[in-house]
Amino acid sequence: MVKTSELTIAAIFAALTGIAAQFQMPVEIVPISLQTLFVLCAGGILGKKGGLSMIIYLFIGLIGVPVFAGSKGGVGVIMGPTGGYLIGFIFAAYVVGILIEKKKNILISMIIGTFVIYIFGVPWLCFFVGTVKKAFLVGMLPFIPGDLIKSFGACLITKEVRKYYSLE
Amino acid sequence: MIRYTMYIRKKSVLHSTDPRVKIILSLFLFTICIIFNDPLYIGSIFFSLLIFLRISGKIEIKKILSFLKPMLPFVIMIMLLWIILGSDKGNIIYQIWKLKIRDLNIKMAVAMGFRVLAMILSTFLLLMTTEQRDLVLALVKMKLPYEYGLTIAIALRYVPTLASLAVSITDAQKARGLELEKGNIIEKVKKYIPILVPLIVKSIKLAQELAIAIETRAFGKPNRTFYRDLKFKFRDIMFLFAAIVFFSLCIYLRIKGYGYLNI
Repeated sequence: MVKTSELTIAAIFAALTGIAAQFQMPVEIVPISLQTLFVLCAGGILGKKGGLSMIIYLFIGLIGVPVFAGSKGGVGVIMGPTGGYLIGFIFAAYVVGILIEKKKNILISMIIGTFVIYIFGVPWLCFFVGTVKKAFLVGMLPFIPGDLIKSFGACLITKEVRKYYSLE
Repeated sequence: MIRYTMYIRKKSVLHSTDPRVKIILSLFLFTICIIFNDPLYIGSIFFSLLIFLRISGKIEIKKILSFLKPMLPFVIMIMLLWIILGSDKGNIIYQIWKLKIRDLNIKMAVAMGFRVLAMILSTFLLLMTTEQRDLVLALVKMKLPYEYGLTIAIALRYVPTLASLAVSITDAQKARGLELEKGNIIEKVKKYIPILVPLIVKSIKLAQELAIAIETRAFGKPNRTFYRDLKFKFRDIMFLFAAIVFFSLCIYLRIKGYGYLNI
């Protein structure tokens, strides 16, 4: 039986990620947003349940609530070029959660989580832009500096929030 | 003002149909879009879906198209990719430098464009005519564990609430002298921390209070009953039957080799 508070916090984090996705700067195909920062925080704060909250996030986006970057929602977004990143969120939050629960270094866990997002996002993007090289150039390289900063931010936020709420 | 739901309140046949039937119908239509790849077939599926939504759902076509509009860049991209990188079969109808435009690829591009639009439209059929809470209820009735149904419902309910919470926290910090626009990238990111930490902490507290409230209402006890319940009416069963017949007919046509271009 899952604890009730874990369920409600997973739900609330799904909603928060949706709101964070609206704060964004559009760059080429993949928008830079606070979305990934919340994905990492979900893993960092909720542990493995972060994966659940990302599944809920994708689901509410899927049924048309505008929770994806640029106030978009619906099946079309997941089928679109950035869909792989969205699916990567589930695994990223889960991986970060596992690492954090095993008391690994928070910053390194966050960076690993960021790369998990790429592992799903870039091959999916390949499918749309044609070549692997182009997918790397459009969908990964320009975002690495930003994502490293976001990993750092997620690490700081997780540490702060942990003072008020811990996994136990 | 952002709209948080796609539901459009109307009184129509489609609106009063059982959401479970609509979920199945949407899945059928989604599959039909995948199995055919002849532009003629997919195009007619797309237009008949539009007309079906207009007549049985009473939703204005203008409204449907306005929801489809954000997907247009993506559809155009797919079409261009098919025209440029499609197969080597078919006759060349136009050639610019090394770029050969073939008639078969254009046909496929049109088919793919309509396929994406028709797939999205088949989900609209469900989402524009079903309230979110009915959708979650239908999923629970279709054996989704109740806890997860509830989690989805809470997430849906709290998106607008947390959005306004985020705005008020941002305003409160700005009133205390926080300047979000100034500084280099790292400074800008650091400036989000005084907004995000209170937002997350406040949200977690909200969630914990909510959990207590839910538990006081005997959450997790077996044999739950529902205040709003779903029951199949005779019309729903007929509708489901018609959908199954239509779906099997499409599968039959496809197996016979209709509606598929071999490329």
